[in-house]
Amino acid sequence: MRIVRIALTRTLHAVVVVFVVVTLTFLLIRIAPGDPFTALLESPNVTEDVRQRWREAYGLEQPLLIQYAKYVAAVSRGELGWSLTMHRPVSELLAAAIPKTLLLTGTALLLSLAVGVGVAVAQARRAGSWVDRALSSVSLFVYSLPEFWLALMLLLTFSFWLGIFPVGGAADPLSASGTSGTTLEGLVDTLRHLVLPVSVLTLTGAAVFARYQRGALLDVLPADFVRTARAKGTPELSVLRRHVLRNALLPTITLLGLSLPALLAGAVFVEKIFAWPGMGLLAVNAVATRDYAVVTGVALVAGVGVTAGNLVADVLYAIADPRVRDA
Amino acid sequence: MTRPEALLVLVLVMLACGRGGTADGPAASTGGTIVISSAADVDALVPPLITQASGRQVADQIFDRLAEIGDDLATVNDVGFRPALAESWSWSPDSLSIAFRLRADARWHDGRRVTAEDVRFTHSLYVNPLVASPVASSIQNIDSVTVADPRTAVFWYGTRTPQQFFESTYFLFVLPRHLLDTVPPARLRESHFARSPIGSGRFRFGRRVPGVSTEIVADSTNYRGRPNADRVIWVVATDFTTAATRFLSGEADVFESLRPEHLDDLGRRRDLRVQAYPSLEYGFVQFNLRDRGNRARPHPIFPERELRRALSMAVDREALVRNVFDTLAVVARGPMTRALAFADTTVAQLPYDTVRAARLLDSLGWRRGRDGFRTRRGVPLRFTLLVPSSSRARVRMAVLLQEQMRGIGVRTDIDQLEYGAFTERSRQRRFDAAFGAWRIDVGPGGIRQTWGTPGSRSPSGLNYGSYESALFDAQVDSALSSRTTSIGRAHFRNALETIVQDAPAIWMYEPRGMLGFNARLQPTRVRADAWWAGLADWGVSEPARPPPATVDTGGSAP
Repeated sequence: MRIVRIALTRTLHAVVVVFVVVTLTFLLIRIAPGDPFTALLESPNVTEDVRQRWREAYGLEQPLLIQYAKYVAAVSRGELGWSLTMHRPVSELLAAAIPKTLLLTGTALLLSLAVGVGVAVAQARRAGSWVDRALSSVSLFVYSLPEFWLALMLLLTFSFWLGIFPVGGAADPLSASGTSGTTLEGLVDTLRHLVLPVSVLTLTGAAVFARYQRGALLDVLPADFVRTARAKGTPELSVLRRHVLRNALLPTITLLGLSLPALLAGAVFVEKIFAWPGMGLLAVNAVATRDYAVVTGVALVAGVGVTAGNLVADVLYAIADPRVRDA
Repeated sequence: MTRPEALLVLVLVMLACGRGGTADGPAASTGGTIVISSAADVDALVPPLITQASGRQVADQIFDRLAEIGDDLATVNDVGFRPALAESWSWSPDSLSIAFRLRADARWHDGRRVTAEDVRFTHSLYVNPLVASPVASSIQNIDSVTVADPRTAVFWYGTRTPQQFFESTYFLFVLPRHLLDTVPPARLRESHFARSPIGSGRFRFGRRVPGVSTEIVADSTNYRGRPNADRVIWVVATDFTTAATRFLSGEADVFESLRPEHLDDLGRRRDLRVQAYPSLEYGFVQFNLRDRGNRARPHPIFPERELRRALSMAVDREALVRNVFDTLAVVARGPMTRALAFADTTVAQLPYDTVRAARLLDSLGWRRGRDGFRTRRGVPLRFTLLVPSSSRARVRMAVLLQEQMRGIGVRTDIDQLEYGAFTERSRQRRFDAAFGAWRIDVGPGGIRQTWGTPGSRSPSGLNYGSYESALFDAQVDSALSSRTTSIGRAHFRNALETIVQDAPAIWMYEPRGMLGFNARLQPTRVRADAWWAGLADWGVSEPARPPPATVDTGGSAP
């Protein structure tokens, strides 16, 4: 019952947050200098009359408040508008981009978690040893690397110099599908394109998880119940897995929820550099071209995604921690 | 290999390519795929709605014009134009109409015959206000198009102008009436045709994934002959480094935006070639002659012609261009590039002469203070230079220019702005000086809007600096109404001399286009306005994908 109440409260908060995010995005992108047609039609031969007609075609000549009211009404009908640079419904563009971003960030998140927890366990078991110190240094180093720089270095090393992985995109443009395949060949092709962008997000993400998880493990290891479990003759691996890790995972679950925005933000740079056709690339291109409908649509989806992620983390936390669940 | 050696090799490669490009390459054959790495996605596939070069690259392959402009880009009458969809044309005695005779074998990609009715419909669509085509103003002299018979379309003009043939052919891509006449003009961009266009060009539309790639395939039975390549794919990476790496790693065959930093690497590569071509872009530092806060007032510094001339003479443009662009640009000679048929590159320029510049400023009463900077009656000789942060070349050049201005006692503050903000400030004319750049159209009429009085006085005009000269306007008007290229060039020369001596801007650079391509391709001659113009005739030596990149550190390019 407590979990249901938590879920309902958090959902209400999430709706408010998404509404605020979308409203702010809607206003900020429009009050930024210039409009989509300023640069798009900047030619000595394009008359102001043409620019004005393009603005009218997209409703941009109307007062901001009316534009906003129309947008809210359209969103409530499930319409996210029309991309004025890609000449497609925003919902169609998002429908194509979201699975790509989920594939990228989801894979990266799972791998980050696995690698991060694994590294943390290895460190905690040998706390103070050279292994611990070395892994701490490496994770701190990776954590401090800017994602875009790391992405460029991997691109140059593995795509340009070594030629092992493709430079960008989600599929070989020469392949039969050109986007991504459902065949084994297509799957392998997608995986090849996924390796570098996932590596960037995983490396930086794993470093964060490792640092937090190590601290949590070291907090739990001296606890009485751990000593008791060992005294009862429970095998060390079992102690670690059943007693230590489960308790030490609580802060990581919180971090998991909190890391979603960072993961999406990181994906923006990574998708741009690796031309990965996900939401990040869509967003960064839309901002550059002042494609209002796409920017707001991406903000809406990202807002929903991040708040939903936090919601899931809260619920998971309640499930994992009886003190929260039963309070 | 040292940098100078690499540059030398590159120059040799370019020269070799300039002789035709196929002499040292493998023999061309039919088939294969050309992959083009592009930093911009296709903006639209329906010609009347296209605003960007990326869209034109694709549309030029799918659709046909009535006639093609010559390589010299001459726009006077029909000199140099080659038949395309029209096999011939005839002028009326009063030159107020031109009858285009269509080829009998011309077919749309769906098999239907191309008729004069399609041509008439195309014109009506382009000028329809609901379509709001960006090129509508360029064809406003075409009064109407009528159908004389199924193969003959007659263009009627409001006035006789030297550019009327150019306007009728260069801007109009003929569209299929049978597929578009049921589409409401206002909804053209949302139509099925906009997603899957059907034209009569030598390539058919293949598929498009927005933001990812666009593919066209050979129209094997095309009336103008099958293209050499089976298909062409544009792959998009909006990050410049990624787009360039795609080409350098061998994943893509063509990249159009090479930069100076690529020269060393390209000089060592046997699998890559470079072809230089003149561009239609020029960069300039524009002075605002009106006050940036109140347009009704003159600017406190720049209305003085001699001061502007002094500032121009203080800038070593050769050094700046070489420093920033290496060999990939030349100094601009005025508001026109060397690629245009009207361009006269012998126009006298203001010299680089800091001593003369300093004397001129002294004579105007601008005296150096203790800090080395000049003032006159308490007013400092100081201005803010707007620069778009997206242009690395202009940002670098602005810093060098700031230093050269400091040398003659002029304080320059650089204000870097995001491109949208830069454009907006320029349009609102809220600046002292702005580092702008124009990519001009082949038709020279745009110069009225960018530097003429009409462009200054109209609130939506593009003459942001508000330079006005009756002499310049008159010479431009005379040039545009000249019936021969030589007379037009003479008038343009006078116009350029006027504006260069008036110095409403410092004419900075004119970049060279640098087309990079894989050695397995044999491009035809590259046109300044459209390097892709002869894409259907490019040779492809092997149908297979190019091998992965290898950096040859020991050899040199052939």
